[in-house]
Amino acid sequence: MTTTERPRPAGYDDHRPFWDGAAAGRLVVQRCTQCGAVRWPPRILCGACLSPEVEWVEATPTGSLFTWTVIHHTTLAGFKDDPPYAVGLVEVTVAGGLVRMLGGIRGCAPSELQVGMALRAQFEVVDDGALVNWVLVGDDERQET
Amino acid sequence: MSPATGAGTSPGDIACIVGVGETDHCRAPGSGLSNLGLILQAARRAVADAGIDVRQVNGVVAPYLNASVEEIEDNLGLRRVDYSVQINMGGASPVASLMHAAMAVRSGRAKFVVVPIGWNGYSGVRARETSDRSAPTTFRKVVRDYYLPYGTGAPPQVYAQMARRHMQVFGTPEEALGSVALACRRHAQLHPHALMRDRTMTMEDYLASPWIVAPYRRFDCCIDSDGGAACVVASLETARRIGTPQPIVIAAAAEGRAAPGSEIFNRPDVFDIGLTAAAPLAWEEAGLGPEDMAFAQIYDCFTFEVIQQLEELGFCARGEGGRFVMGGRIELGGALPVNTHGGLLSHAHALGMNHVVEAVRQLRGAAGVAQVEGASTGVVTGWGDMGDGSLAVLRRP
Ligand SMILES: [Zn+2]
Repeated sequence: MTTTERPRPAGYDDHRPFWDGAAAGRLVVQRCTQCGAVRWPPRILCGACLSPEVEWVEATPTGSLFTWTVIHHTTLAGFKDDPPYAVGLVEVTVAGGLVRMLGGIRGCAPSELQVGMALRAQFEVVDDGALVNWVLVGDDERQET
Repeated sequence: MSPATGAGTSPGDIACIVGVGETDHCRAPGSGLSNLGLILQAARRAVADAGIDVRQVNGVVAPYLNASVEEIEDNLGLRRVDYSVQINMGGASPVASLMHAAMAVRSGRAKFVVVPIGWNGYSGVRARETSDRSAPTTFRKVVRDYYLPYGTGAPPQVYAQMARRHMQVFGTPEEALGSVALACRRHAQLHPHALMRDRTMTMEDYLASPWIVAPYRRFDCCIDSDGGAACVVASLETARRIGTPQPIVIAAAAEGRAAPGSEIFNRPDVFDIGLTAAAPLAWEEAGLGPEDMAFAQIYDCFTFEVIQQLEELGFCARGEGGRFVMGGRIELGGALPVNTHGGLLSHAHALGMNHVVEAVRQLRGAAGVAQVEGASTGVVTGWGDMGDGSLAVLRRP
């Protein structure tokens, strides 16, 4: 099956709360318990205050499209049949901070994408966690109804 | 020269390039040499160009991962190495190495420093196909866990998103990217060894070239090639003592990394790159500014990165780079010729050390039909590892 050939995350245990959250349909990122700075991707120390103390806070799983690319050619195993496909950065507000997360952009023709479009996270359980892709809010709602 | 410049006021305090060398550049069937073999051939040619006995070299800056200092030292038969360092800034390494070499000779610790690079970028392991699952660094872990599972992670797939953002926010047209590709291709027609010589390109050709990772088309992407290039750095005092005919002064060199260094997508201002901080340092140290430059050799892994670097160098305001490169300004005969050898896009992918060689060639007045008339100052940049940047401001003595 094509999907099993795709690259999978390997560092589930490095950032267990993120993967557990994603598998449960929740989007969680690190926040420094000392100064409150939010950070993504996860790191050992807070770059603002150097504290190693961290908590994982839940973000509303919506965001806006910051930028994207449409991949027409790839050498990645498992994706050879997919082009063209859109991958983009989604800006998510969480606990007073802002992070940008990368994921697949779905539910829209690539030619219709625009910076600032509203997106909702779509969780796809794999292995020990879940991938987080993004769908246009309108399309997502249409799918649900 | 202003006495305030970091390049110093006595010849012993001024660093210069006294020799440059290049291997042949090729694609199929490949160089027939190892990475190290290319590095050594480039080093030998640069040392020969400097007109010195290789045993006078006592400094090695190895700007890339393809050879260790020891391998270079042993094969060149160096008697002693009083200064050595290996630089890991990806494609920004060669130009960053000029900063290290200049500091080494200005301090007096090293007399001659060799800076060689080389790789089988075409016939060896293709950089764009590399997806390292062992992930020893934070950045590679991010790519492994958070990029590759979505079918992305190779440099063009990352950088294309920066280009898209720029196009959306500043209205940069696709013809601006095309203008960079065209300038490089036109300049390659004037270079005897450019790999894309005799392959002309029009804007129509550019716009018709297939998408690779939109907004990047095939003609937005650098070529893969095998080859190497090198230079030798010494103080101006040493250059004069040995009678170097045309030493080229490193008026300033600087490197920079934007924060966070390993995560290009989560910088507070996504258009901050290494050059953003490094360029003002170098201009101040050189006592020169963008307006003084006769040319710019800009690391052109992809077309948009040229536009972005021109902005961060201060040739134009951020967001204005697209309009800046259009209309022939960056072509020979324009106000700021860029990549007068054809660049990585159309000359060869010698990791940007070919840009240094071309800058020296121009400042020696030896660029033939591609000569920028009267060129006495120029700038060369490096770019790598998600926006790490480096630049060197070069001038005639
Ligand atoms: Zn903190």
